Amino acid sequence: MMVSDRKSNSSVPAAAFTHFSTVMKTIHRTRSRQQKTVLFADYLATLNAPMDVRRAIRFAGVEPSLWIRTHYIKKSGHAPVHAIGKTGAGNRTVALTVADFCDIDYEIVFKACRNATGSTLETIELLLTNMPQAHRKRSGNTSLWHLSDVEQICFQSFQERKSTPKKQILIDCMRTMPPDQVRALLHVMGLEHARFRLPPEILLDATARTYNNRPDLLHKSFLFNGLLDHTVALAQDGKLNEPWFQLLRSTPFILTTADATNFLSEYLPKPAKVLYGVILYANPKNVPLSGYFSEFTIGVLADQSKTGFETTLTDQSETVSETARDSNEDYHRMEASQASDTFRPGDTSGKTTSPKTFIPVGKISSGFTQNELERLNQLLRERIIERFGPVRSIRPEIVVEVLFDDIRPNKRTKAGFSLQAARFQSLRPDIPPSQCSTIHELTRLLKEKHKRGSP
Amino acid sequence: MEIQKNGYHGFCLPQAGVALDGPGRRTPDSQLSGTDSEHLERTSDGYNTDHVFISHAHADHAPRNRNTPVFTTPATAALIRARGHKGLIREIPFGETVSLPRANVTFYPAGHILGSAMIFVESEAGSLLYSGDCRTPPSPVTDGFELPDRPVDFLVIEATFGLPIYKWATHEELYHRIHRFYIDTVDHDETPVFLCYNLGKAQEVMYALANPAIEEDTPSRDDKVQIHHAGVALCNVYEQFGISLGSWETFDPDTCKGKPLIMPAQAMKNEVMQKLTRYRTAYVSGWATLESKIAQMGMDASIPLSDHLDFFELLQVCRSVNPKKVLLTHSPNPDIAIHFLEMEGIQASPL
Repeated sequence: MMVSDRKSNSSVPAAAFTHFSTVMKTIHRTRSRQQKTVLFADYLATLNAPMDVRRAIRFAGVEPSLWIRTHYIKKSGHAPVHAIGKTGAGNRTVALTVADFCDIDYEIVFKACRNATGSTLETIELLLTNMPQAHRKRSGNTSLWHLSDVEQICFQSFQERKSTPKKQILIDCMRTMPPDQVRALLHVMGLEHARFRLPPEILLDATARTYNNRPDLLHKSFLFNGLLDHTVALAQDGKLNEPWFQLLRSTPFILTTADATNFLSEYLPKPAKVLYGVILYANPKNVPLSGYFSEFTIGVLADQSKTGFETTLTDQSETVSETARDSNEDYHRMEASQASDTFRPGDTSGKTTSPKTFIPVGKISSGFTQNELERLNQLLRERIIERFGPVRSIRPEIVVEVLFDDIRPNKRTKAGFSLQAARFQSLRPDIPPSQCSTIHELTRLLKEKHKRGSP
Repeated sequence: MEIQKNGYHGFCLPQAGVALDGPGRRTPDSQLSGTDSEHLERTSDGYNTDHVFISHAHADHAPRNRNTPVFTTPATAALIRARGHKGLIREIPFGETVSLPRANVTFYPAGHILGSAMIFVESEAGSLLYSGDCRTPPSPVTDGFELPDRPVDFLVIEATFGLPIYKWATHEELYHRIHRFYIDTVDHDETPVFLCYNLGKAQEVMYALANPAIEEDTPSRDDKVQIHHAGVALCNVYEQFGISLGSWETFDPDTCKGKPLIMPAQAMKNEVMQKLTRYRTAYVSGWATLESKIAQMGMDASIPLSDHLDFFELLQVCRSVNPKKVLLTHSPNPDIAIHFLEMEGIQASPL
């Protein structure tokens, strides 16, 4: 249920960024996934222009570097000279710019506020709202921004390589945008994006609801082409049933069931093999990793072993960006996290699996020497992907050895069990992540323990 | 002026023989010399103690020892009696001065909850105004807010929300949100549950529901509010002192469906509340400003209604009082308020 905003201005166009900002805020305060879907679908239904629908979905669910890069290729005909980088200024630069705009000391005031909220962007919105100095600098009549305007700003900021012009773009926005929209803009530009972004499942379901499509068709289409934007375009044009995998997608592999190979075989170069429900084929030039996206729409694996496949899973993101730089083909890279969303080695069902490949089984807070703790901290810092307040998301590359006293059933945990008195033993740089113990091994331990009848 | 903190429970002014929001120092005769005992109060077990003044009835300010003799306002006296205080209470109305051997003490309305007072102490060592918990503009369910018209040397002021991320909307706006949440929830055949403290905030929510700032197109309802049993005696005190809380009754799980409920947050975990179906919760507190707090508590709505000063109100009170020194209490990070005060030439430090 959505509590209606009595102050909503019905004379503001549907494609105004303020509506997007408001609906995203409402969605993030909604707990039910179904309600989130309905809210976003209702919002999409208000947008008349198909392009605005696609903009809204991009803003809500796609890393800006991905859609901006495609946008750049489409506009200019070639990939940008500089590598995929930040759309806007970095987290600290943005914070310093806002602190300056509000006439407050960054070190003393801004940081303390951010510690209290746990979020840079929430802090920014509150300070821009509350500080009289920010009020004065904001023009009396804030401009009405449309989704297309925001898209242009993102594109403009992306083209600037240095931080100074990126800062100026932000300052200009702060002068003319209400604080909640500044925050939404910064989210769209990639800051704290993981907190803001809606998962593909919600966006696809919302699209299905908006265009009266079958949700499973949209999900399947997305699975194959990996592009939210393109999937929505297919839905808008009523082309979800047409062959889709040949289009924009460059992917190292494609998920399918064994019986779909006949359907796909006329599109695939020979020879094609199915491995664990995944179609792979040998690169005729015998390159171990995908590198020929201008020629093939499906990535290659010469090494058909499980190890080779998993290596590609973790490494492919770098190779994709490297090799596609000169490609004229419109494409999107598939992030490793997306790949693991669609495939779990050993899963022969061909179904999509839970997006999480890591399941907590215990906590470790002892066993370290001071040196080991410092070393671990250093390794962790080098692998930070995202920050959520005090929590860090890191690349899963560090292997440690853990001792524990017992393993016991625990229905309150996702794993169904937890390790007792788990403690750190040592770092194991000699073991690759692919050779770590898995949840299946721990489950087997628990079963064996029950068979033995041990306490 | 010497100020001695008593851990997290108030502080003493030894030269004045006064303790504020905490237990007085207890000194045996053997440790006193000359006429030291003359300005102190004698306890029943033979100790000499400071005169204890209580700013308001919240548990973190009221005496933990319920037999402690205290000075309070009449409304605070009624509230702490309702919560079990048994010791001697000397009731002092706002504006009336208590003359002690070494100090004169006056209560001024603080605008925090019913009966809440700022405590003004004048002695040979100087004058000190202790804010207790305060709010200006004051809540309509309090006695208002008023500063002394005499010079203040030391201002001891709470800075619970001493960061510029805290700036409260007007009471009208927030009362409208309370009313809107109630109407929208009931219109969807669900029970609205307001989660807030039993004393002060609960009564303010009841007042808001009974006195909505209604715009022409807003529907109105007059369901009886149900309040958690721990708040019933406190509501009776409010009405005894002339604050109208509308139509209300004690929480009854058999009849609560569709009626606005007012509960402390921890009550949601008890087995009676667990049986409640089809309800929506609104967290009513200044801390509802923080999204992390809302996410942590799993509320459906947040209404940042506070009975404390926000950051900007705090600075304004300090400017208005213009003391020689500001001492900040109840703040996890007083440095920020100190930073802003010192930029304006007001000396400040944490207490």
